[in-house]
Amino acid sequence: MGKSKKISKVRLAFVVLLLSMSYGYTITRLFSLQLVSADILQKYAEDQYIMRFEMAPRRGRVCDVRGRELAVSMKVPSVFANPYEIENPVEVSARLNRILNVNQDTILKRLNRKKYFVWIKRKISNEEFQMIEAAEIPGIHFIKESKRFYPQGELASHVLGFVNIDNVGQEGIERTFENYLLGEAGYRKTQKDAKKRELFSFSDINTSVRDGDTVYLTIDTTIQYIAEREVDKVFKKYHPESVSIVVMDPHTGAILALANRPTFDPNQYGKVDGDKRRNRVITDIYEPGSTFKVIAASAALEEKLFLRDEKIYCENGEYKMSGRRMPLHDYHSYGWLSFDDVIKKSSNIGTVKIAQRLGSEKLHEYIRRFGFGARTNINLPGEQFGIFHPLNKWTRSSMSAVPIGQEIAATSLQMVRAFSVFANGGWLVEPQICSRIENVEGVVIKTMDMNKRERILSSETCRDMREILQKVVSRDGTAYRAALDNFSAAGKTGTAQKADLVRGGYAENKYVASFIGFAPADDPSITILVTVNEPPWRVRFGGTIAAPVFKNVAEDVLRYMESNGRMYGKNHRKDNQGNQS
Amino acid sequence: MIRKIILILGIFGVLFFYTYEQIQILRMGYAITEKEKKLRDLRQENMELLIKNSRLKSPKRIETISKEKLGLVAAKKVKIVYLSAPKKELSSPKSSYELSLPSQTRISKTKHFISRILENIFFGGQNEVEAEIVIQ
Repeated sequence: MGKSKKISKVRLAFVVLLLSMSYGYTITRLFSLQLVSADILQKYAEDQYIMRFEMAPRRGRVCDVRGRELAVSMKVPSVFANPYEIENPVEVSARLNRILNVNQDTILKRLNRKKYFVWIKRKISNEEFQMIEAAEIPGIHFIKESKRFYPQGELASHVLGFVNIDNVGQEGIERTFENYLLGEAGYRKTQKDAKKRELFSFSDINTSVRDGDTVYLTIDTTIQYIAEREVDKVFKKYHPESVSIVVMDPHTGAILALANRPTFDPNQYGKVDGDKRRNRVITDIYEPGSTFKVIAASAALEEKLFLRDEKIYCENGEYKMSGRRMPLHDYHSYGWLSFDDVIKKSSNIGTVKIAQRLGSEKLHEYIRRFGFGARTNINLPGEQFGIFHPLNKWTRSSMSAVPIGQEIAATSLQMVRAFSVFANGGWLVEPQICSRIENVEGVVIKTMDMNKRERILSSETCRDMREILQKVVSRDGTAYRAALDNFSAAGKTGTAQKADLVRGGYAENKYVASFIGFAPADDPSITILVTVNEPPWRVRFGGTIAAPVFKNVAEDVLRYMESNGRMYGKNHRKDNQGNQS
Repeated sequence: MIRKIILILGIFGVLFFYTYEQIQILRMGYAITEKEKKLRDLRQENMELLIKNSRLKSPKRIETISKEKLGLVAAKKVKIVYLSAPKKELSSPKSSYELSLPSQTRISKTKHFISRILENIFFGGQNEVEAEIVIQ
C-alpha cells in the first residue's frame, strides 16, 4: 500500500511538472509574441490586411483659348520584370527585344540583377502591350503610368514645351505652369480581405486626390495653324536657318499664334536636338535693322521736332559722318525726301538725320520706353533681354547705327510688342500667353490681367505713324507685297546684316529678313512679325521673303476673326476700288 | 420560462441583425470598389476619345479633307453683312448662312451641308453676332 502511494505521488509530480512546463512555455511564448515581438508581428499583420493607396493625380490639360485640347494625360502600361521569377533570362530578353525594340543586352543586364523590380520599358503602346500580354511570359508584369499626349502634334510645340518620362515639365507652358498642372496626390489607408479586395468600410486616413488644373492659352488653334502653314511653305522652299512668326492682339497683348521652324513633335521630344526645340521668338536676339527706324521716327513726331511734309536731304545715297570709318549708305540714292518718305523708302541717311535732331539722350529714353533691353515677362522660360547699351557706353558711331537698328539686338517678341504701340494708340502692353486657369470642376482659379499697359506715345503720334506705315505697304513702298486684298495694312520691312560673332563685324552674305505689320491699318486687330534667318541671297530682303508671309497669314486670320465677330472696330474691308470703307 | 426563451431569441435576433448589417456593409464596400474601378476605366476611355476627337478636329486634317476630298477652295471675295438676330443652331432650317461659290466649283447639297459643318468647326460657333456671308 505504501509503495503504490509513493508511485502515485511520483506520477502526479511528473504530470504536474509536464503541465507546468507546458503552461510555462505557453506563457513565455505569449509574452514573447505579445510584448517582445509585438511591433514586428503587428507590422506583418498590417502588411497582410492593410492597404495603402497613393492615388496619383492626373496632370492637367492645356487648351487653346476656345477650349480645344493641346495637351492631355492618359494612363498607359509600363513593363517591368521580377528577375527572381525568370528562369531563362536570355530567352526572355530575346522575346522582349523582338516586341519592344529595346536592345537585348540592356534587357538581359536588367534581368540578371538581384532585384524584385526592374524596368523593361516605360509607357508602351497598346499594340506592344497586347503582344506581351499574349506572350504570357512569367516574371513580366505591367503597371499603369500616366503619359502625356499632344494630339495636334507639332502645332504650337514651342509654346507647349514637353514633359519628361516622369511627367515633369521641361520647357514651355509645361514648365512654367508645372505647379498648376501637377495636382496633388491622394492617400487612402484601408483594409483588404483574403482575396486582396478592399474593405471600403474600414478606410482610415483618406485624402482626396486633386487632379491638375486646366491651363487655357491665348493661342487660337486655327490662327496657329494658319501661321504655321505659311512659315512651313517658306521654310521648305528656301531652306533658311530658321523662320519665326508671332501674331498678337495689339490691344491686350494676347499671343494668338507663335511658331518657329525648325520645329519638333513634343510626342517625340527625345528624338530631336535642342536646336529644334528652342523657342526662337524669345530666345534668339537679332539686330532689327530697318524695322527699328520707326522708333526714332515716332519719337521725333512725339517731341514735335518734325512736320510730316518737312523735307530731309538724304545726301544722294552717301553720307560721311564723323565717328564712322565708312560713309553711311542708302540702298538707293535719294535727294530730298519728306519725313513720311524717309520711312516709306527706308532711307538710312534720312533716319539718322531725324535721330540727330532728336539727340542721343531722347533717343535712348524712347528706346527704353518701348521696352527694349528688358524682358517682356511673358510666361515662357528662356526669354532673353536683348542688347541695349546704356547711354554712357554709346560710341561716336552709335548715333549713326542705333537709329537704323544696328548696335542693338532684340527678340521677335520685343519687336512685335513695340510695334503694337502704333496699332493700339500709344500703349506698351504686356504679352500674355495664358488667358486663365480652371480647376478640375471648371471653376476659374486664376485670370491673367490683360490690361497691363503703359502709355508711351500720344494717340496723335500713333495715328501719324499708322498713316506713314500704310504708305510702306503701298505700290511704291518697300513692302507692296504685304498689301492685303480685302483689308488695309501697315508695316515695315527689315533686312539686317548678321553679326559675325567669331571675327567681329558683320558676316558676309548673312541676313535677317523681316516684316512687321498690323491690319487693318486704321483699327488693327492683329500685329504680325515674320522673321527669316539667313534666307538665300537672292531673296534676302524683308519685302521679298517676309512680306508675302505676312499677307497670306493676315488675310486668312482676319477673315477668320471677322466671321467670329472678333475684330476691333467696324467696316474693315476695302471696297471694290480698294479703298477702306 | 417563456420570458427566458423570448429574451434569448431577442438576443440572438439582435446579434443576427448586427451580423447581417456588417455583411451588407462589406458588400457595399465591394460594390463601391467595383464602381470606382469602372469610373477609372470610363475616365480612361473618355480621355482616349478626347485625344481621338482632338486629332480628328485638327485644322490640318480638316483643310486637307475640305480641299482634296470635297473640292472646296478659298473664296476670293467675302462680303459680310451683320444682322442682329440671335445665334441659331446649324441644323436650323432658317440658318442665315448662305454660300454661293464660283460656277466652276458647284457642289452638291451634301457637300454644301458638310461645308457648313466645316465652317462651324473651322470658324467656330461662339458668335454673338449673326452674320450673312456671301462668298463670290
